[in-house]
Amino acid sequence: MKNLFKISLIAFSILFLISCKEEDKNEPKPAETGSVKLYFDTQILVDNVYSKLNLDNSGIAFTDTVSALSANAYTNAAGNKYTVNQVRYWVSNVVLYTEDGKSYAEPNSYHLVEYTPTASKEAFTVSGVPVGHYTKISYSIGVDSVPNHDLTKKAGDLDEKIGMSWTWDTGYIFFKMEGRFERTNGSKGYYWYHIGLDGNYKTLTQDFPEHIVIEKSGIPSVHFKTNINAVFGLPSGASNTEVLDLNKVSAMHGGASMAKVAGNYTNAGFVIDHVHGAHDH
Amino acid sequence: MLSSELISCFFSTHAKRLKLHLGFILLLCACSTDPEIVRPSDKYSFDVPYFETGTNVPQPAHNQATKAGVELGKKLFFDPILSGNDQISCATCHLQKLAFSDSVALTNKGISGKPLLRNTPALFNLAWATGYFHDGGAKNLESQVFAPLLHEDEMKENLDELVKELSGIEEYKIMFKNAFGTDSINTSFIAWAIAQYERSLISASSRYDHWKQNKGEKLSQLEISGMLIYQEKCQKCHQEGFFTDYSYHNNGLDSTFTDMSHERLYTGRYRITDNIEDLGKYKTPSLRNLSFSAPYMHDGRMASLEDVIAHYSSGIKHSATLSKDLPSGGFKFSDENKKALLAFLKTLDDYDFTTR
Repeated sequence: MKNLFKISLIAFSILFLISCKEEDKNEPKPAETGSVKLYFDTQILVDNVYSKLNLDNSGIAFTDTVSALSANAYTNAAGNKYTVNQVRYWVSNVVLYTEDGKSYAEPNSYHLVEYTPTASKEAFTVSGVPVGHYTKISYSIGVDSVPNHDLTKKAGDLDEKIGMSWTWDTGYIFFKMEGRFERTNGSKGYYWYHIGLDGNYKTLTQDFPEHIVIEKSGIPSVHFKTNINAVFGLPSGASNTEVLDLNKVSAMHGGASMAKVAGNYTNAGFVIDHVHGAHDH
Repeated sequence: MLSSELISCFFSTHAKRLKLHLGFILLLCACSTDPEIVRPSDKYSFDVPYFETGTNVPQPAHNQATKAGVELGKKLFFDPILSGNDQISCATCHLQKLAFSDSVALTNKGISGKPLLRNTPALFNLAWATGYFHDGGAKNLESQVFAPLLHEDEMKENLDELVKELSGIEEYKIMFKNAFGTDSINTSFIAWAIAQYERSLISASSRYDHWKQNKGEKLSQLEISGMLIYQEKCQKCHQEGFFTDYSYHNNGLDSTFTDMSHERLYTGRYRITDNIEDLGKYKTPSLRNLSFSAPYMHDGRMASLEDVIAHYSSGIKHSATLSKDLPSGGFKFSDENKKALLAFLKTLDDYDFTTR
């Protein structure tokens, strides 16, 4: 029996080689690959200083009211005092570009980034990247139309179970931010910004401040930071943003306000803070 | 890559058979570059309605129905294991004898006991629709499945639990393997199987159909005159064949749409498209099987077909998005015409579908 296996294996191998010869000829030798880790640090820019966003731990509640906002409150461009209960979004279709114009598109590239009192995942590793020098990156916030139109076409972290999709209006919630805010009359409310729909799928392309060297061993890293304040727009429309007032827009119901928020975080929400080489640490 | 393919090929096939069919099997395995899931079973042969020109039902490329898939979907559809308390199946509210609808305006048979906000739709000829739910928000049957499964007032299932439960049942493992080539169950396979079964629910075997096909059925004078009224007044939206255009219209149920609660549920198709021209529009239901699918309209507000005909006769309310094919104030049917229309509608009941 053992012999039979051996003989069979040899026979198979030969057959395989013969039958696939044509294809093999055209296949380039697999390139040596390495990885890069992408960090998405949830921060907020206040008085020109970035710092880690402090979350509101008072729980998700669409209806109940609180008498006072959490101490971790911030002020947006419209002057609203607000807190952040959770931030979750999809980073998808990561593409890395080399200095000589080649690119590597990560397959099944759908990563959930989340920053909540109970779960945080603010980094992921892109592997299988051909070794080389890379100068820029592109990635999208959201989910492109093919998987967005069929929740069963899963890839990467895509999952209908994690509260980042709509079943009554098929599609993923691209970006979700919720928290509390103080109304003009002093009462407190809950806001929920759930952004989705094909038109709000946004791609960002950003240069690295210095080259990233991908090698077979060692993992370089790219450190993005967010400015959560940008979600509501920046003062006087800086960086091509539009100011939203929580008194008027505390929930997302379709097109117009969704598009504003998506434009805001795309245009001003994500910056590359710094990069680390594989052997810098 | 190469060796792992070889090994998986090798061990998945019995050694003695390999000895005989060595080269052939190997060739097939080794050069397969298609990562598509293997479906070992036969394609499902749909009973395509006679009035359809196509030879098959529309179905997505990644979920072509197989006999094993439809069979699995049917088992899942009727199995209360799909709900959080293991007591509610799809069939709890979609009863075959009622053309897969129920008999109440807003059911409270879900897990919370709270009445739902929409009338349970009847399920048949679904493959030809392009949107599901009364507002068409679900883009395909595959994705639609998760809505009742996850809804806290419907089946409130923990999908991780469901996968675990199904994976512990030998019969299901075999059925998933037959349908999708693997007994590693996941939520997509569950949705795919149910979608396959739902596409197999085809209804085109009413008295009208038999008459239309000259199968020895006769329609009465009253039914024929009802058909003529239908052709003049109703068929623009309820197109002959499926008796729906699978599109969205405002049929004059309400004159204002100001209630924005429940994520704009009461605004109809507008909540999906965000287009003001879609205010108050709902998907045209088929006129088939109406005797089974009472009560009527997206919220079940009309108890009887007489009520529905009375609405189109004199109850139509005007609003900016009212269908251009409906006169403000209604068609003003005579009593005779109402009787005829009702008689014709009943020729579209498919008893074969509800009992087969």
